Amino acid sequence: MARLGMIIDLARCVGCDACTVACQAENGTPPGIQYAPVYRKEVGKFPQAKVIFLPTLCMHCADAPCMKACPTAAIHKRAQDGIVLVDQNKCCGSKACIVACPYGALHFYEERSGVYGTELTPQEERGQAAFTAGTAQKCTFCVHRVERGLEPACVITCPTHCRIFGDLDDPQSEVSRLSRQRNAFTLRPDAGTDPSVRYLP
Amino acid sequence: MRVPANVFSQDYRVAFKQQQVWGVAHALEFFLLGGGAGLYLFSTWFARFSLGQVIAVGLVFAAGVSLMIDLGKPGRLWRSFANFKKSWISRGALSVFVFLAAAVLAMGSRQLGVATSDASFALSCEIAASIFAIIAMLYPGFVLSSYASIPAWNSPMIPLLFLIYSWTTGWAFFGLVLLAAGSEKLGLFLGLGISLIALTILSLVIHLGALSRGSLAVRESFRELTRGSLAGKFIGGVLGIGLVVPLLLVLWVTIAAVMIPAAILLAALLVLLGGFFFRYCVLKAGVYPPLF
Repeated sequence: MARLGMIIDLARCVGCDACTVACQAENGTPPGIQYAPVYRKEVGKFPQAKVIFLPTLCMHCADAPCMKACPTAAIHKRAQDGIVLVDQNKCCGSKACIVACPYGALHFYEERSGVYGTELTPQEERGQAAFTAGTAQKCTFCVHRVERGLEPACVITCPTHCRIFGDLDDPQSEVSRLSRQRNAFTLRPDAGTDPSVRYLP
Repeated sequence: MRVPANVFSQDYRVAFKQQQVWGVAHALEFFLLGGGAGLYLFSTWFARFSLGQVIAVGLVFAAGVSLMIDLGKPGRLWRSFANFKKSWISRGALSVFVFLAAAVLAMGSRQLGVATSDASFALSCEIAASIFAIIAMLYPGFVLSSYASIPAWNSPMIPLLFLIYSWTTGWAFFGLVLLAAGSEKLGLFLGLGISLIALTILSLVIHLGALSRGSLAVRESFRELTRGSLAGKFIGGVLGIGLVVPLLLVLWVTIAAVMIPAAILLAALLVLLGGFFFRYCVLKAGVYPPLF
């Protein structure tokens, strides 16, 4: 049993959006859906003003609110690695999960669409073949890559190595070590979701 | 050159943002469901009134249809009973289904005299329908209060408010049915109305007081309701036109001790309008706090 998770080192992120683009290319998501957006916030005042970046994705929470909200039990957590997935054959498109997620990580897939309209690029064609119109979509931690022993696309693409992927239940893993040594924190702890994505200050 | 204070704060992840997914369709569903369930209870237990029961079943059915239309995959509605152990939407769907089945069976056996010669079967169905009607009145509130993502919803006051407002909306539908049927039970209707509207106003004031003292995100919801984009609908539509004016109308008719059908009709219609705006405002005042 493992609990796959991610550590994101905010001190390293330069806001290049490579993770966002790599994710979109890997999963073929339509233009309105980004599984791994990077958010920006201006902090401080001139001359000490700066922009900070917050790379995000589905937090694959241990106590996922989307799972509790889904009326059809379409959202499930894999026992072997803790990845939270949406079953495309069960989702009824109630959007309850989208409202319930504190991180805005779920999206409604209305219909087939790509950057060039209804004509999809080969990447979009491949990615959206797995989507069902009228259902919810979310980051899968690139489960198709993980099952082949590879890391998620956002992790291997990051030029500053700010995303680190591994088993949070293994005390010897890099994610566990960094989490302990550098006081990792989670987003929206008030929501009580116990996210598997943690941040280093 | 003047630089904008925060050029990157457009997304909710770095700023407060109102919930945008649920709106008119869900407000309509919650309104019809609460009103229909309330009307059924009034028509069954306060004044046995089969026309009211029929209309109540129609309203609850319309609520179900309204929800189904909003689904991305309406054909999979039947799957929504699957997660009743965890999901309040699932429990709500189940309660609506059982309510409709029990209410139709009760009405059928009473009207057509089927199943049994005595009234025990119909009575059992009516009791079952009433229990599930109360669950259906509560369920929208429990759906919202179960979401920790939106702090203003995540409160025990929300299910209570939805329950109270369902009774009030049911009372207004009941009044319309009594008026349409020319019933002589309007006196009972007026007495109930004063208590229910006053209770609704009191519970809303308590809720607003709690919102005004909550966390930053909760206070943002309070601001939206009282001074923001929803202020007109909430202060004017829910509190003013939807509760205070009908209360004054009903008080006037009661004190005058003369049945004025136009005033009763107006009071009931205004309560219904306010009931819809209440659901809409609660949904739209759901604010996500920023992630950082």
